[in-house]
Amino acid sequence: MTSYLLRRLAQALLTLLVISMIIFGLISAVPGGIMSAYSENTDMTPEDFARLQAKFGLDQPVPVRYLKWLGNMLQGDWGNSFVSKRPALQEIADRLPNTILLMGSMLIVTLLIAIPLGVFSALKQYSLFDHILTTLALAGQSLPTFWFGLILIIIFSATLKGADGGPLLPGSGMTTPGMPFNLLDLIRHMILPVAMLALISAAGYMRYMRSSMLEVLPKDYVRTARGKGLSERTVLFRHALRNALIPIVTLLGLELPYLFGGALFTETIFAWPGIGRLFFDAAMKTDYPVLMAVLMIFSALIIFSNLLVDVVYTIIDPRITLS
Amino acid sequence: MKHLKLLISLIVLASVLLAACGGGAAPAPATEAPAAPATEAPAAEAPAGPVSGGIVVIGSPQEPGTLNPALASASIEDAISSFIIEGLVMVDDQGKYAPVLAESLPEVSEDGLVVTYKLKKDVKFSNGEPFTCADVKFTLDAILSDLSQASTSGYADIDSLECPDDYTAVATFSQVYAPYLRLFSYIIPKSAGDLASMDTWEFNRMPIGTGPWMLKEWKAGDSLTLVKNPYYREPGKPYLDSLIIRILPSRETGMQLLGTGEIQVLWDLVEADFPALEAMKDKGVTYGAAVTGENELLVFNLADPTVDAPEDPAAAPHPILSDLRVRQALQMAIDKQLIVDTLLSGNVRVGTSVLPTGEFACPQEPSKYDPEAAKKLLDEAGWVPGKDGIREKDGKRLSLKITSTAGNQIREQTEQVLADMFKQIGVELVIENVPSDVLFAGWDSNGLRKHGNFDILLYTTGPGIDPDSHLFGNYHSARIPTAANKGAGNNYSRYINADVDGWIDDASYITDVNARRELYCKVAEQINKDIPRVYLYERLLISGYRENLQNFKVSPGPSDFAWGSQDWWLKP
Amino acid sequence: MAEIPSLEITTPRRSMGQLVIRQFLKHRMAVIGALILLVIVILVAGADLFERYDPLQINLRNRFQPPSAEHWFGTDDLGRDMWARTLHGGKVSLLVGFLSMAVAIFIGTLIGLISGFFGGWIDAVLSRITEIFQSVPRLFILIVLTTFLRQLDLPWMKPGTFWPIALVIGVLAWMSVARLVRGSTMSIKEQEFVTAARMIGANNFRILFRHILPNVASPIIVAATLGLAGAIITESGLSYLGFGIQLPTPTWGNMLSNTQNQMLTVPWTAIFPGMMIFIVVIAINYLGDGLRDALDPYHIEK
Repeated sequence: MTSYLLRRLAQALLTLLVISMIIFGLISAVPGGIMSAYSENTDMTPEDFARLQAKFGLDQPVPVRYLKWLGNMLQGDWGNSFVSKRPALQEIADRLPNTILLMGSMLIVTLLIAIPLGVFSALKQYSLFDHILTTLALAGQSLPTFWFGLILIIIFSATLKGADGGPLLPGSGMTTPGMPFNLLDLIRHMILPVAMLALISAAGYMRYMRSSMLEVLPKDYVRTARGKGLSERTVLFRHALRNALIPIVTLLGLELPYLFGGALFTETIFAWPGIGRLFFDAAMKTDYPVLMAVLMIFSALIIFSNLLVDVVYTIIDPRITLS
Repeated sequence: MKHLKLLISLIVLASVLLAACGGGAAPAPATEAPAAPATEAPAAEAPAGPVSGGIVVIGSPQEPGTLNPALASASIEDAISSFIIEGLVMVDDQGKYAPVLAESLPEVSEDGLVVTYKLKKDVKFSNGEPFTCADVKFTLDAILSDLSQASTSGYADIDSLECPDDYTAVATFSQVYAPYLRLFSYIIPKSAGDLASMDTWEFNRMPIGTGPWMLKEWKAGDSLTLVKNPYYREPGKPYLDSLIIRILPSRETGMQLLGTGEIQVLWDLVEADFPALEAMKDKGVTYGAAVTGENELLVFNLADPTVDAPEDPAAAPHPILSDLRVRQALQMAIDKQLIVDTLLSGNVRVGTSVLPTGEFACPQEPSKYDPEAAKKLLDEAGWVPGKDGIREKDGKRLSLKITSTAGNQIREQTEQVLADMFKQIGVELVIENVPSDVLFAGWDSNGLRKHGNFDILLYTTGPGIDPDSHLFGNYHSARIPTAANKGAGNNYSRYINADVDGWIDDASYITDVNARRELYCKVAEQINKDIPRVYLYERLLISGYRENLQNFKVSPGPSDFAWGSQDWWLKP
Repeated sequence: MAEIPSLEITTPRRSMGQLVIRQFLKHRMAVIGALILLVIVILVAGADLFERYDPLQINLRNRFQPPSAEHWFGTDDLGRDMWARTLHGGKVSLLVGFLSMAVAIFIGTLIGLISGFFGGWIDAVLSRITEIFQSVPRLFILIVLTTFLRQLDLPWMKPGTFWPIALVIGVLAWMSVARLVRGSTMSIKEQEFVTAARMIGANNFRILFRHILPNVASPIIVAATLGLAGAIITESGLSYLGFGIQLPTPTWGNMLSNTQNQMLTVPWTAIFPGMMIFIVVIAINYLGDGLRDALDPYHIEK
């Protein structure tokens, strides 16, 4: 196992290097960049443009810029944002707790909803309950995110009133502006965005859970277990669920990096100061240092969670071996 | 029975959606609203005067990166820093230059080379330090420093800036800079830091200014909290205790919060939001708007789009658009008033001129909508209707491409309507949009405007307050981007008219406003004859706000909604 | 034990197909799903026959009319008939949805199967490629690709036309399918019936596609259902990058985009295209369920 992990580590570093080159190349190939913010300002003289290009290092060829970036990064310097001039890692650190809070809560709520409902839906296949769940789950997948978000805000924030005459639930931000921090206030602000994210992502988990269960329920080992006179509960959780978990674990692995990456649309609609928006804003302004930092950390997390998933496979299903 | 259950669940979902959308609310009024873009007067002001206290929350779709004006790259940065930082001369809510830290507008010498500012006395920065001529000097040095991201037009022409005493600043120019009033629209205090390390100044995220407000807290991605500047020179002001700028990236969310009163101001709305604003009227929401002097316009390429940035555009004419009759016909085919009345809810003015408003306004007669005359012109030009109704000449179809910023609702609507209107006169218009970064890309990244690789463009631009650099940059033949000038300039039409060149040059060497206005007006008239661009409608700066917020104004200058914020108060 | 081989030995192939069809028809929801889909496909394919107005006919003085006997689905922001636009919009949306889903499922399944089954260096290489695809943001790929295709000016691959949109959505969406299939394959290849098949001399190809593929069908079918909806909505998102279908051609996606500020005042402009996507996805879902049950040897046995 140790030698396997070491090999994966070496592969991961190589992969990250390749990814960094691809991403850097792509970002450089995007037309416009930070300079297009000034394009309609006719007061900017050609000398001004030249000075700015030099300041941002954009007067150098792309490979030189990449090597400089790589060299600095390896020494722990990820560069400063073109826009805010603050260190890229600082920009990320400011938003990371918010992102993890939102996405972590979402993941917990999702799993709490989706796993039991998916199992139940499979056990009661084609019952009314199953149909309603299926319908709701797919509605979550087939309508644009902004719809859901706005409908939630319109219902719970703009229309329904709380005891104090204000909105029942706040529709944006993390805290009430101008108020000292308190936990209850934060939780109230989290309800709508977490609900929306969970609603959308639960749909996927539920469908996968349901179908995996349907797949394993009629299998021999489940029947054998039943035949041995084990209780329905034991059969379900000891045998069926375990094997149905593989897709769920895969799915979790796919989602894990987003604990860091955030969710752009939800953050936008609910004005949540997370990484998703940081990335989007940086992308719109081609803010290299921030973009590279966000994307490289994100890539590292993808690679790490894929490895984690592989290890978890062997725990769920001991017959799986890693080589 | 199973399909019945499915049907029921579908119906339930549909009704939930419909109910949430407020049932069949009235559609947006199409033609009712009169064209009244001016700031709406607050309804019958109560006799009682301003009340002190209260917090106003402002929603902004964007977050500033820095509040140092010398490093700013977005309009939100100028607007928010204007709450804190003031200049010697700034643009007021009427679009006129007004003295702020200067006693009066600066005096200019006979030859136009010496500009003298009298500074206000007893002005203090929010850190308690006095404001003097030394700060003006420091500001100039900051703007001209290596790390500066500000435009140096005008500043670079200042030979010397003298401080005969603490309250007088004398700028001597090496050549006449006609729009000298636009200079020193912000003052950076000398205590801000060392110029060689401007990027890492604390000032950038915690600026010090002479304005009514100072920054207390900046929560990244979330909000900026402003409190009263204790040293602000006007006693008793600002009336409000605090301003909180909330970053609300979704305008739709912002609009809902404005309706519930969770925010009092929503900045940076667009014309497409008018129907939603109207729908909020009964919830105590109103709006302020200012004409910016910018037009939504069509840019015709007069040069051959297949030739990469032609050195001599006149030698490589556009196969269709270089013919004036075709350009005239296209303009006549556009019913601008109909576009304004429907797509823009009748709330903006039809575009008539490159100089629609402000000190140098030169309004012109609106172009005539006359499809019949347009057809006749095209006939004359040799374009005759082909089989499918699209005109042809020498086997070439009269088909043009229009390019704009992708995903922009009003622009996409406008393009489709234009395609429809052009079709009436036998012209095909194909829509091919690109992301705004691609459209506005520079020479080095193969920008399609810079390299002249388009037929027609649709976007917004305009002269702002002083037309000097805009007219030169957009209409002077010296500002046609070519390989020789490394793509400098914005004359994307590749428009060449010697008279226009001359008038623009002449105007840039005089400081007399009346004489300049006359020359610029000649330019505007000639442009309307040559039609390198078609002005569709005048753009607005729009902010929505709660009716109980008093004295809220929108200024067409860079300070935008921050202008006059010391006078804001909340009606109880 | 090994159900599939035994079935094959005891029953001739033709009756196996009949069995599948019979099993499918027994599945009432699947049949209804298929019928709904058929109706929609007929409506969309024959849009010219069912439309009452030209879907491109602009009438600015007739904007935002609510649904009525005249305009069944109301009119849109330019006064165009929403019924006609919804019918015509389905053409691109369904084609893009199905084609890109097929591309994603095909690539994803293939890579997942091979990667999970063979393991070792093959898995390492394919998994690292998957990781690279997961890591590089679509946003930049699309912007750069648009610019690139615009300059190349290939007749079949012009930005704003059908093929590049469908292919690009598919090529950028296969990674999760690959991960899911790989995981399930790794587990299934260790099960007894695979060992049994190997012992009776089945080659790798046969084992992969005859024995393992049917057993990883569940997550594939779910991924396909969810992917279809995703693809239809993604198409509208592409228009922000200049990659979407060229205006004024309607698609369900671009009819939905930019409706967020009209949701309160003119809800029908968004509800009808949204509804169509939803119905298609529901129908596909039940169809998929039925297909899965019909193909599942355990169900057939019952």
